Amino acid sequence: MIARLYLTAHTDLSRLDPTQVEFILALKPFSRHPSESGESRIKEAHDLGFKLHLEWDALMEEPRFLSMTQNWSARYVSSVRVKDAGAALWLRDHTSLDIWLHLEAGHHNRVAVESWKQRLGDRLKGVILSNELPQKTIQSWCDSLNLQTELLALGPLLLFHSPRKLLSPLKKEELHEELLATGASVESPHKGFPLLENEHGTFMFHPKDLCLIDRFDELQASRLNYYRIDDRQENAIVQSLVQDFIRAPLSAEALKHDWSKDWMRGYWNINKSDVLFDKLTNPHLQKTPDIIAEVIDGKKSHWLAVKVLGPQLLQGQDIEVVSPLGKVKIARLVWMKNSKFQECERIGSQEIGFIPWVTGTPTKSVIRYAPARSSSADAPSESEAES
Amino acid sequence: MSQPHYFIPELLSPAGNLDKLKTAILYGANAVYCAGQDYGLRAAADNFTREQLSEGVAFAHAHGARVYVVLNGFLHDEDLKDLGDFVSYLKSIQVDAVIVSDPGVALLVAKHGPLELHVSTQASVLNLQGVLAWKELGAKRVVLGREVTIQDAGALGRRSEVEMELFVHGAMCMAYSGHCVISNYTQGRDSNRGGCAHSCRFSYDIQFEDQSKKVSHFMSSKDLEGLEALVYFIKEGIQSLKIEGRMKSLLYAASTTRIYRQALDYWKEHGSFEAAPWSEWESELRKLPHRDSTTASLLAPAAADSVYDQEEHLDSPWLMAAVVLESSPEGGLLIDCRHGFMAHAHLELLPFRGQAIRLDTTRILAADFESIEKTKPASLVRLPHEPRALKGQVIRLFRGEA
Repeated sequence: MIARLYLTAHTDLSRLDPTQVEFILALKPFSRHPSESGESRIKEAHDLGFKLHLEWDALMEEPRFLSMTQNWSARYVSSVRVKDAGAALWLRDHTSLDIWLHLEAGHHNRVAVESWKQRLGDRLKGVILSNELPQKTIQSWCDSLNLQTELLALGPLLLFHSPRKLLSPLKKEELHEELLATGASVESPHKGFPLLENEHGTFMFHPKDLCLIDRFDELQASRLNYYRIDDRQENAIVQSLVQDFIRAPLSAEALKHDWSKDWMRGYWNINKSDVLFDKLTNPHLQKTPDIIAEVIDGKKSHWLAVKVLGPQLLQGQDIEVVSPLGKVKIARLVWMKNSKFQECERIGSQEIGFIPWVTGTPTKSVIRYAPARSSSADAPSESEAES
Repeated sequence: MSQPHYFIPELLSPAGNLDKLKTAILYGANAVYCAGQDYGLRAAADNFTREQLSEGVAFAHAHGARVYVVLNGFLHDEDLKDLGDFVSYLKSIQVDAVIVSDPGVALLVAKHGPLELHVSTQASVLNLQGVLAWKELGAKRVVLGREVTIQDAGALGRRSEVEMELFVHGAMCMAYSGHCVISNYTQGRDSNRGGCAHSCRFSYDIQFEDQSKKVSHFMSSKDLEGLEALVYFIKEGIQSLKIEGRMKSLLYAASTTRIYRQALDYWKEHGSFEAAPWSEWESELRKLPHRDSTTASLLAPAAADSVYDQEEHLDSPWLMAAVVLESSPEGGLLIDCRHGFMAHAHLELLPFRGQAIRLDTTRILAADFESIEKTKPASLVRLPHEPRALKGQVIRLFRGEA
C-alpha cells in the first residue's frame, strides 16, 4: 500500500520516497479545504519524482464551473480527484488526465461504480472509497472492481457541507476569508464539532477523527492500493510523525498520542445505520394485502366504525382485529350498519360502516378475515365478539 | 427562448401515503411523488405497499395525473437485492417515472424497467456537465440542486434538452443534498437511506477561535416559498415545480397544492400576474404551520437572511381538523376528525376549487347521531349537511392566533 498525503508547507520532501507516498494538491478554487503549498514546492515534488493528484472536490454551480473550466490549468499533475459527476464528464471530454472518483456521496453499491467504468473507460484509474463502507465490503470491492482503490485511514470526517456562509453572519462586524469555530449541540449530548467557513461555504466535522492506521494489517488485508492521511489541520510536529509512520508503518502509537483530536473507527467494523428504520414504523399496522378494513372510531361497548379497504365486509363473517400493539382479537360480525347508521348486510370497498365493539382495538387497528376454523363449534360466539 | 403565455409547469405534490396522494390530486396536482416501503428517504413516513401503489397509480391516471416513485436513497450492495423485482412491479402497474440519485439504481431501472428516469435533488446536480452526465444514463428530467437559480436552470434545460424540475415550496436542507451525514455518525441513522434526524434544526453553542461565543440555530434554513417567483419559473420554461413535504399533513398537501394550482391557473387564463390576488394566496399559505419563508437561491444565491435562527415553533392559528367522508341530507356531513373541537368552533371547508367555506357547527353529533358538545381526535363526527362538500375535502379549524 502506498500512502497519499496532502502537500503542505510543512511537508519535508527529503524524508520521503516516491515509492512510498504520493501527494494530493488541495488548491483554490478546486479544493473545499485548500492547503496551498506554493508553485515552487509543487514543482520540486514533481521533479523529485512524486506523483501528484489534483483534488477537485468543490461543488460548483454553472457560473463558477464555467469560469473554472475556461481557465483550466493543471500543471504537474497526473490525475484529478473529482466528486461531481459533471466534473468527471468534463475531464473525460476536455483533458487527457486520469480520473479518480470520490465515492463519498452515494455510490455505496458496486453497480454504481460499474456505471462509471462504462462511461469513463480507461480514463477512470481509481476510486476513493466511502468510509461508510465496512471492511468486508471494501475487501470485496477491491477484489472485484478491477480499479485502484484508496481509503481515508487517518483524518477528519466531514459531516456537513452547505454552500451558504453560516458563521460569518454571527460575527457581523468583521470580514473573514476563513472562520474556524467549534459547535456543541444544545439539544443533544454531542459537542466539539469543528466548524469551518470559507469561500466554498460552511463545513462541520466529526468531533473525533477517523483512525485506522493502527489496523494497518487489516487495511493491507483489504487489498487497498492507497491509504490516505489528512494531516492538514495538524501542526508541523505531528506532520513529521506522519512522515515517520509512512516510512515505517509499524506502530501508530506515537502518532495517535500526539494527534490533536480523539479518534474513532467509524464504520470500519460494521455499518448498521439502517437497522433502526424498522422501529420508525409500526409493523402491526402495515397495510398488507390481507387487510380488509381499518378501525377509524369506536364507542366503548357499542360499536367500531371501520373503513373497508378490501372488497367488502359481510354480516356473519369472522374477523381478526389487530391493535397497534399487536394484540389480536377474533370477532364475528353479528350485525352491521352503513355510514348513515342504518342496518345492512354488506359494507363495500372504501365505504364507512359500523360493526360490533371489540375490546382493546382502538383507532388504527387493522382487520383481517379470521383464519378458517376446524369446525363450526369453534366459531366465536356473539358474546365473544363483544367481550 | 421565451415561452408562450399558455405554458405552465407541472405541479408536483408530495404523497406520503395513499390519502395524501388522492388529496393532492383532487386539489389539482398534475403529478405526485411517493415511495414504496424501501429505497426512499423517509423511513418514518407511512409510505406505500405494492397494492397501495397500484391503487394510487390507477386513481392518478383516472384523474389525468402522473405518479413518480422515489428510489433516491444512497443504496448499499445489500439494498439492491430486491430492487429489480420492485422496478419490474412499478413498470407493470404503469408508474410514470422513478426518481433516483445513484447511478447504480439508474442502471438497474434501465435493466428491469425501463421506466422514465428522473434524477433526484439528492444527486446535487448543479451544472450543465452534471446534467449531461445523467443524460448519458438515460435521465429525462433532473431535479436540480436547490442551489441553482431559476435563470440558470432554464439555461441548463435549453442547452441539455433535459427537463428541469425545481423545488418551489417547503422545508429545505441547509447542506448540499446528499452531503450531510450528521445523523449517520451521531445517531447511527443513515440520513441518505431515510433516517435523517434533523440535527440541522438543533441549537448549537458556537465558540470562535477568538473565544467569542454565540448560541444559534445556524444550520437551520427558512422554508422555501416560491410563489412570488412563479413568473420566472414560467418564463424560463421550468417543466415541473415540486412541493416538498411527504411527511406533512393532509392539510398541507391540500393547501399548498390548492394555492399553487390557483396561481398557475391564473397565469394560464391571464398570461400575467399583474392583477393576481397575491395577498390572498400568501395569506392561505400562512395558515399552514411554517417557518419563516425565503426564496433561498431561486433568484440569487441564498444569503444570511435565509437562516432560520430560532427555536422550532411551527404552530399556526389554523389546524387540520377533519376530512370529509360523506355528505347527504339524511346522514349530514360525516367527517373524520383529526383534531378535537367544540360546538360553534370556526371550521372552514377547503373546496377543490374556489374560496374556503365556513361550516355550520352549531350542532355536533357523534357517528351514531348522539348529540355531543366536543369532538375528539380520531373519531367520526356529523355536522349539518353541507351540499357543496365532497368526499376527500379537507376541513381546517381556527383556534385563535398562536
